[in-house]
Amino acid sequence: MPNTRAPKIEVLELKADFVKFVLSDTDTSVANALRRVMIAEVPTMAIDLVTITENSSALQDEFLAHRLGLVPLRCEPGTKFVYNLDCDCEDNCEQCSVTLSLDVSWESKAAGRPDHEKDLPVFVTSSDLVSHDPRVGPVHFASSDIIDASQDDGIMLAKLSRGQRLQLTAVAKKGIAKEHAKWSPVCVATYQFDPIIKVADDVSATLTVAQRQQVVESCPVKVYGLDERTNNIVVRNRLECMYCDECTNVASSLKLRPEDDAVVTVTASQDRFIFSVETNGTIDADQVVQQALEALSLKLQTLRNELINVKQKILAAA
Amino acid sequence: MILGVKSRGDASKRRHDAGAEECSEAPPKSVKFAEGEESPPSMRNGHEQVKGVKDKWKLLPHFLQMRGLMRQHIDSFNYFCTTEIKKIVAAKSNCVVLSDSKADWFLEYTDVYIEEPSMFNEMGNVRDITPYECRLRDCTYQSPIKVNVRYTKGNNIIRKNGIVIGYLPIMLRSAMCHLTGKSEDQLAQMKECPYDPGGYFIVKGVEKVILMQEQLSKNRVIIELDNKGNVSANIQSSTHERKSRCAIHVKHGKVYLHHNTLGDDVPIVVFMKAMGVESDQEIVQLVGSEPHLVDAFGESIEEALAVGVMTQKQALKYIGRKMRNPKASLNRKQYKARNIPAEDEAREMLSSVVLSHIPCPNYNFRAKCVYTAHIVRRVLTTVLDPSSLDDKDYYGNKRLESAGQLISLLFEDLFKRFNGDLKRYADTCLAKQNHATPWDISGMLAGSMNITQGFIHAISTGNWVVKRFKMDRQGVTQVLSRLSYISCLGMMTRVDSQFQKERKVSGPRALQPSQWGMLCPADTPEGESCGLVKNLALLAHVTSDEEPEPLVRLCMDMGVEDVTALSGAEINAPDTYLVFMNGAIIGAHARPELFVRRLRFLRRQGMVGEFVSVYLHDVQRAVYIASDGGRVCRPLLVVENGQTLLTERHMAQLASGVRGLKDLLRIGVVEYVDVNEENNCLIALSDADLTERHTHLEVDPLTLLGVVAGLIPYPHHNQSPRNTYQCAMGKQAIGTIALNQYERIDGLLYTLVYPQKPMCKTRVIDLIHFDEVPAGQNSIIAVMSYSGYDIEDASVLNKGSIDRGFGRCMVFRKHQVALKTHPSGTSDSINGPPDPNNADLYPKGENDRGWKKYKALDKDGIAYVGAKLEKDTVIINKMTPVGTDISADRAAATKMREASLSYKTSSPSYVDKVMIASNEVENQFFKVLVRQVRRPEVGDKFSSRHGQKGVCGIIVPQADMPFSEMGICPDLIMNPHGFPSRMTVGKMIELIAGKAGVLHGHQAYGTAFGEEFGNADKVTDICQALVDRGFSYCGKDILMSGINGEPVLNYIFAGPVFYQKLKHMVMDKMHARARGPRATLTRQPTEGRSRDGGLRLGEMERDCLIGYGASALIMERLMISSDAFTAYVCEGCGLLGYQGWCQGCRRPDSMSSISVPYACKLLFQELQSMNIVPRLRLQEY
Repeated sequence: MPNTRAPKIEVLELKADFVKFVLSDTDTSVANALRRVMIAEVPTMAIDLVTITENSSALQDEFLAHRLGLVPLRCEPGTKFVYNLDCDCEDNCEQCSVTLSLDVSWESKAAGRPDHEKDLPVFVTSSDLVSHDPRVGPVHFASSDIIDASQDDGIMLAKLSRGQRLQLTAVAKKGIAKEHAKWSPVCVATYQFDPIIKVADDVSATLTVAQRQQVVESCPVKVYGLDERTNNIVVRNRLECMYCDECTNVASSLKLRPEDDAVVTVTASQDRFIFSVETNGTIDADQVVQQALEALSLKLQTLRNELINVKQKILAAA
Repeated sequence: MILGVKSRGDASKRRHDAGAEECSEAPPKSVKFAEGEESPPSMRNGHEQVKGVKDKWKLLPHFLQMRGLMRQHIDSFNYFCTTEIKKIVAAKSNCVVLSDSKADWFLEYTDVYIEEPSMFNEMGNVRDITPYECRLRDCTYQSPIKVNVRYTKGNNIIRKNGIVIGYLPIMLRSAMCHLTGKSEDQLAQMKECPYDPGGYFIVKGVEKVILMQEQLSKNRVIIELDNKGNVSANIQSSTHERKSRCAIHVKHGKVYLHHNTLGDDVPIVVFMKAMGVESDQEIVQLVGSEPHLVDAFGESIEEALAVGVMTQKQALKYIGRKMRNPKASLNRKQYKARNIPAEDEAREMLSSVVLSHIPCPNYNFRAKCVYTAHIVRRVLTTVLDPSSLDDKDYYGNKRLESAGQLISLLFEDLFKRFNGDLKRYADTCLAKQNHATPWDISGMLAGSMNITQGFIHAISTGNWVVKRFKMDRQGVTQVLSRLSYISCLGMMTRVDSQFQKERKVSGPRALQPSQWGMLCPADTPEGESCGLVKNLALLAHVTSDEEPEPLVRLCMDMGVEDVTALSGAEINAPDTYLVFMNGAIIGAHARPELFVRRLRFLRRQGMVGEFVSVYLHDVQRAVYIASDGGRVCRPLLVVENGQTLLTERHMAQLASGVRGLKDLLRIGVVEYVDVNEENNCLIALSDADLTERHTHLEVDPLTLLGVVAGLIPYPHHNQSPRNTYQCAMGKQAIGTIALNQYERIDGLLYTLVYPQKPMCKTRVIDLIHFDEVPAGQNSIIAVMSYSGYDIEDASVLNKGSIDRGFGRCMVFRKHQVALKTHPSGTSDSINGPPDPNNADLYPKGENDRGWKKYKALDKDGIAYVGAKLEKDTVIINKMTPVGTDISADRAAATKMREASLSYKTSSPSYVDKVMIASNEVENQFFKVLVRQVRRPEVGDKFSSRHGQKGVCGIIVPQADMPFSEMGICPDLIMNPHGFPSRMTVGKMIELIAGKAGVLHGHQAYGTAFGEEFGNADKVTDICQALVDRGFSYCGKDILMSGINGEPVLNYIFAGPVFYQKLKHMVMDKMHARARGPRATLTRQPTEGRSRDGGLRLGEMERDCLIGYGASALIMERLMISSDAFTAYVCEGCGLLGYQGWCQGCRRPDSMSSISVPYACKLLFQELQSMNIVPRLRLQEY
């Protein structure tokens, strides 16, 4: 095993809401720790307290509050909040929370409509939430380009028909997804083991072209191909491999004797992890990874400090 | 002859048209469906072209559109409202009321009709009411029964039209109902759900269903063995006037007639002689002169001789002597005449009581003789050959009594009583002399509430009492279950059997082959009523009565010879077939096959009612024609020469709406076939099976199941009891009950916050619009073991999924209170909350403990919408006078005490709605709807649609759940041990079908038996679809453990499965108590959660403790923690006494105290009260 104390990260793809990178030279526990922290312990802002002044919509108050909580709120990079619990204020303040308000009535939105749309319901979406802090606001796509390009008007919260109104203020607080999934910054945070696919050329040479073709076609995701020139099996899309064992099953069926080597072998690399992280727009994807690493090191720091404390106590007692 | 037929045909045509109008008004939902789903399971490539018509299932929406889901109830009620009620009122015995006091006075009903539901408004004007209003205001959805009358007033005859004699509760969506023929928008305006099936009543605000009752058919001969093992033919005769039961049975080789009015069995030959067949030879000929029959019958003939009966007169005398209660059969007028000879009484009885469904006009017994002889013949044949015994459980021998028939029985009774009241009133009024103005009865007609009240009482209690027929049935109606849309539909298709549940017989409970396509084989409850409560299959229809007379005339015209004109030899000739109409012989026919074919041809041409069944029985040499109500039948496609008459052209016409299914019925492409007629049919399951010999083709095999079983995807891959379990559980699933669910105020309502349509659906789901009112969610399940909290069917839930709304549900509960006016003249009132600033009462103001319970109240004393209700919070601050009865003095009557309605449950709720209303009974009442949102917790019950229920065992953080390399992590982990023993392969196929559906972006289909017909995705196609999207064909994925990040060592079967949250939630069940209330009598802890009761240490637990020798624990559990009591016992007399005084010995010094259970002390005292003296001998211990 290579040096597990010097892990490396190699970024394969980076977009505002998506990052794919290879974490190598470390073991599963580190990779999994990183994944778990990204899912559950990277802090974000989410609506936590809703004061409903008027709700004549078809949805119940709790229903609405739950929907509001799940609306992702984007924080400008570098914005820092403190946890509400750690804050000195009584209820909430600008240090620990952001107030958003919403006031939509059917009349207000349907006013400028053409006649044939007069009786249609009005949609209340996340874009109707007005944030009192310019650094924080609801988001429904990671980048403004996609928002502009899409027909989507924001995340649907409720529909109002004639005479209905929704008026509320919501307080967003900082939190982590350990408490509630609404604080999770990621939609997807996963990794796969880098597949090591070996084609034994010497065994391959003993096979007929038809048999090689059989091995190639056995893969549902087309990992293999046949070299045009030599008709040898080659690995084309290594990263597509999903360890389904279809090819190895075929390969072992082609063995003449059970103790022979198989023509292809698929093993999972134990120290290379291909991570895919897709955010829900609250924080940029690279930030998620960085903050996760920070959170992780903070945890380790805390553990280290605790250990030192304990050791000192033991020494003092002795 | 043809003329007669034509007119009949016209009549039926008119009825069709009326129906067609009904349907054309209805929103063309199903048409849309038929077009929209043009490409069903998209993955079937290379699906071979079936010969004949492709996609027969597309007929189903049209069937449903034609008859609606609950046609059986609605049709039968419509029949009552339009036809039956008129017949009852026009019946000879009902239509005229005469008075004994004045001979020329009369009241005659000339017409009766029912209008649309209405009520009087505050101004006393009539206005229409909607079902929605009735539900909320606790009113009855009823319409006036109006009559046109002629009656005498003084010397004039007066006509009056439109007099309301009472109100009839109206079945929703029946012809009278306001909802019928309304568009979806109109229904929305009336706040009614467009998917509501109707077919129930609203009585005093409660939705009530009259369940279909299964009975043995009336007026039919059923030959079976009695409890002595003798062959016996039982006939239940039923006419409008009389119901009676009669048996013709064999005893010691002789045939007897048994009837309740006869004290003793009467030899059958005596009975025949009494009916005028005096010659033994003729009797034998009627029965049949085949040697084996004559041999078997010989003894019976001698029996008549033995009792000395030769002539009719002797026979009548003989029977007259045997009559138990000679006067019972005679009506009152004859009864008054008294001195009637016994033989006349016997004759009267024979004509009108015994086998009363065979009419004897002017005491012409010929028809009855032939009928009796035929029964005797069948009995004797059965004695010789037991294989011709009838099967009681055979479904052709059953009739379903539905709402219309029961209402009609009730109405006839109420109407007769109403007329009786009128007569009595007329008798007294007319008897008085010297009227200033001529007496007018019309006021009396309109003033009576008896009919209205009679209906309301019967429907709301379910007690059906018709004294005339000695009918006293309980539980005829049930409250419509609104737990989910499916439970409501399931209730409307329910068929209840009259059988006692205690009886441990298997016959009536078993699934009869004849129930194929009529009753759902899966949908029946478990336990005591298993197999007795059934459900109709999807397309099964229950017939209404149809006039037999035109049919009889038609038969006569088609060559049926009148049986009364034939001799016994002719009747029993080997090539003669008897023709029966509704159980009575109408004649004989020599070429029965031709006759049957012609009659069916006429039916297919629409000249005879579509539900008339024609059934040729070769063994009994009989043709049975039935037009009576209550038969179950189902539609089939007609096949001729190995080809269906249905063509692609018909399908196209149906799809475009040019033709309706009624037209196909009328041209004989589709026909209704009842259970009996099915015996003459050879029915193919699919086009591929068709041969020359086939007569019919199934519409689709999925129609064999009922509505509730139709929800199950791939049910034909499941072990059958699993489908039965799902049928029971589908009714408990929380979801959507109707589109108007949030407008309703139900006693208890569960709804899901985010219901979803299933990824894997069925055709039935489309037909019943389950996608619009779903009950469940698609959850990604992984079949693996995890954490050990998943054993014994427990499942692991993902906390992240729950946070995001999985399984989140709302519970609404109604609280209702009425303000009453008391006899003392005072009435209840509502006060606002007391002033919290009153420092004497509430030192801490609003935060004072005493005031806290008022915090939900508005100024008017009613909780405001949105208020949080905690335990003991007052919802309505009602005050009631201290003295309420008439004798209460002024002070007591004016003094008010608190009688508030408070919130009892320990978990808090919020006020959702407050309604204030009044109706005829209450002048003001309040309904407060209270809401609670619940997220799943450990112990909540979930189930898939395959009878796989389980509780939540643990809730795991998302990070700990296994995940795939795509980042998918399951919502729910199911233990693989759930599969091997239950064999729910359907669930596995649902999973992979759903997975393929998700990947392709459409809902998959998994209809019952559907692979062959394009109604269900085939597994091979599904696998291909999975592979196309880069998934394993077997539905398994590689998952990584969320805890340590290592790959799980096996491939994990994972994908979407539709999960139902069931109504059983721990929050409603969890209960514990340390101290609490005790029962007054025994001083033991109360029982049950609702009374905060204790947890019982029962006999078996006690046995364990005894076995362990844990005596101190027994003492503690059974006495100290329960009802320990210190009693004082006199050591002198051994009786209980006081502390320091024995009343028996009259001395103070002999008392000792003992600790006993209070129940023990109570027992001693109760024994004493019965003159048994228990004396206690005390000893130092």
